[in-house]
Amino acid sequence: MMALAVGTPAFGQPNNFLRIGDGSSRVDSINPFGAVNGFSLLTVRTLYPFLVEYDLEGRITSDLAENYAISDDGLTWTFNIAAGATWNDGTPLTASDAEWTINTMIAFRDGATARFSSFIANIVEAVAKSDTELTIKFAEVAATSGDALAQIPILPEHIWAPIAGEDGSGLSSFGNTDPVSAGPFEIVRFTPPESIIFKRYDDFYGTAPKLDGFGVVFYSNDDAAVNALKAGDIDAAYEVPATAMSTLAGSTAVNVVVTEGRDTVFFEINSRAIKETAPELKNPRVREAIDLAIDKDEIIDVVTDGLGARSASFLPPSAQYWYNDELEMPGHDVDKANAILDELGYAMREDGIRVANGMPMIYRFLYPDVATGAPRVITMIANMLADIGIKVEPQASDYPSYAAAIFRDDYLNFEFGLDDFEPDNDPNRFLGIPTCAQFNQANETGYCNKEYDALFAEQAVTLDTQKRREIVRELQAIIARDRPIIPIYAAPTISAQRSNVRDLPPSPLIINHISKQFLMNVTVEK
Amino acid sequence: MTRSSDSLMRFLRRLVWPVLTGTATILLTLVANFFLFRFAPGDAADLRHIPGASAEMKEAIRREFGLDRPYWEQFVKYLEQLLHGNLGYSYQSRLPVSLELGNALQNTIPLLLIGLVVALVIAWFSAVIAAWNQGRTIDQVLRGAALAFYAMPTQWLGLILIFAFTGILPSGGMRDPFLFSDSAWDQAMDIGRHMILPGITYALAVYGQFMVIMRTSILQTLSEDFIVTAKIKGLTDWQVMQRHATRNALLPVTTLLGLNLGMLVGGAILIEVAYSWPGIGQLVYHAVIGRDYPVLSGAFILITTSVVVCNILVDMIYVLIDPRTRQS
Repeated sequence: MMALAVGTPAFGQPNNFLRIGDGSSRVDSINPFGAVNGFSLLTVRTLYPFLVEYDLEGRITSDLAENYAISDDGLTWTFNIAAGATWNDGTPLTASDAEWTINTMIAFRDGATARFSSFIANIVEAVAKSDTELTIKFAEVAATSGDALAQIPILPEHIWAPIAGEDGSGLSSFGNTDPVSAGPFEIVRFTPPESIIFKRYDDFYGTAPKLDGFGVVFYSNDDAAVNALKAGDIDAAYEVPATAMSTLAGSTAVNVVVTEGRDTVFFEINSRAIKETAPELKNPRVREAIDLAIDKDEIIDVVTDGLGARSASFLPPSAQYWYNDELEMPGHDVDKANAILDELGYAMREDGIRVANGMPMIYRFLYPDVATGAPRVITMIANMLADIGIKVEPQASDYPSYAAAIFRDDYLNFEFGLDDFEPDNDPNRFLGIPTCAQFNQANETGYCNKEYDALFAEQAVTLDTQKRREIVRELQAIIARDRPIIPIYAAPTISAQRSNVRDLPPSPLIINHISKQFLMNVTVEK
Repeated sequence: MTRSSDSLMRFLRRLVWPVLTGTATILLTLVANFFLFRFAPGDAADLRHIPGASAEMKEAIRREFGLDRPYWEQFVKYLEQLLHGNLGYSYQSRLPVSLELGNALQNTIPLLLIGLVVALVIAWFSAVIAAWNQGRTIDQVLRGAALAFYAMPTQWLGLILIFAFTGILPSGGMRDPFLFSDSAWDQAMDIGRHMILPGITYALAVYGQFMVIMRTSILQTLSEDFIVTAKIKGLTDWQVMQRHATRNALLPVTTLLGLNLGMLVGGAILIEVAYSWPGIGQLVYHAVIGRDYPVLSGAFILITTSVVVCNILVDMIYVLIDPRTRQS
């Protein structure tokens, strides 16, 4: 017999219910140790308490911890947990749950809880002094401590401890399909990969949300989501492609919301120091020529219908406070680019391809087929580089194949790449992309610069925000100078909502998984 | 030995060889499954841009899934699990593969079965009409339509139908997730409404192959000598068509049907993507992207077994419906 959706007598027919649709994603797991994509993280954010979280302005604010104090040496943080909080199975939610969660993540950081290893890296231990008082001891003072705590969900010890096992392996293999939670919403029904439905948790420790509930339905393609929005089957759609805007523009029932996004498309130049082939690409002037040859404005016009944003830095302008607006925006000048290559002696053959160091300037250009803007951006860049005598051989693949190709043989099998990255509210992780420590991880160019790494480490421990900002600006200037990454554009975040939806704020992230506050004031009028 | 027991022995002997070769095929698939997916570059630890991802996390994933062990060790563990009927756990969802496959199959089979029945009905009617009017305009139109639908990109056809029926029929999904009703009837009707467009799309995409074969078979039968005898005996054209021609047309269709039934469990990825139908096709697609080896292995074992079993069944049915094969 076909599986039928399970009804929920306790839920009934809600009045104030937000229906969200998305055509590009799904919830892969609601186990916090396995959740990796945007909607999975949104689910974890909605279900579980965090000691602190981000507000809609990107500032750290209280969540489960009503307030906190930091010791004079900056190493001990003391949190006052909301009194009387409960999990949705009636068990009290106390500081002991936070203590168990954090210490367990530390204990198994190389195994089952490795998902959180970068967030607990600087934490020594957590101690629950009472049901409502928790202290966390850090190994060293860091500017990113608040951000790290904002990423750690507090789990119910009485559920997770018995299944953990001696090596913690039970934590990551737990399906968690009927989660015990304490966030503003609890799961009513999870039907993977189709949909996930939440209802308001009436005993939430914080201010209650206005919605009775919300649900997310996942379509296989963007057209289906847009169609569903137009037909009134959903109230809001995320990841709306720019090409769908024209079909929505004429509708009075639908409002399209365009936000300056953070998702930034990078053109990557192999910067591995030990690479011996194509040595001309290590020349800063050649990189300057490549930068000049790529017309980012045209790419923005064609690929994003003019909605994307230029960026002088690899950190996008939507990073606002952290963005280095003093950097000169690279121009587009094909003549100058050709002049540079002529000066370097890279003569043009009859077939229009230059020769450098005795070899034609023909390069492998790898990209994952899921990269933002692909494949149109690839085609446009290929044509633009051809204008200066550089021929590229684009090779698309799925992401695991792309990663394997990039990292194979220590970054020696490609010259150019393209991918996109999205910074968080705190720029630390994003700035870490081109560090030596991110080899075979986020570092897709093999760039390794001791000067950059030292400054990166310094900004992470600089508590004075103004001073930290100066270091962050300097980091961006180094990347702009060395060009292992050439930012092409920051993609717009486009969502759409029906006109009866009120107070659903736009998000600079593709999916807002760093703050549940975006759901708290939403209402849907009948 | 009596004649009936003779027939039974012949029937069983006929069955032995297909069962043996089918079993060997399944066993070979079990082995090939393991190595095939691991030849693809990258693995489940190559996850894209996870917030807070670290080298420790990647290594931990590899250890958790045993991907850091030598291939031979992974292979032994894989065989041990299979011997215990354990298909393992999905790397992505952490749920048992058998549960994932079971859920996806429950979604795929009814849709494609209904679509197949509709396809056969369309094929039968159009083949009979076309054969009856061989050479005339109606014959050419019906054949042209069958071939056109067969050649059409399935996902394009699906999108056209979605746009055409926007606001009339659901544009995607298997059910309305926001239907908060306990009534099994409400839920069944809801799924039924969602099944109309993808079912029709599947039927249109596959009926052409049946129609062409049926039509050809009907025409071949109509040219046989016994048809002349039947007409001399006084049977009308319609009676000849009904009692002799169409029955014989079922023989080659049986083989084709068996192959299609076997492949049903593989889903129809293009249909599922166009209609966001949560079936086996989508499950396999996401498993490929995520290098979810246990799900991929389980799905391919399922598909292989289904194709082998259906082929054996078709052989048996063929013997039953075609007396000529019993005498060979």
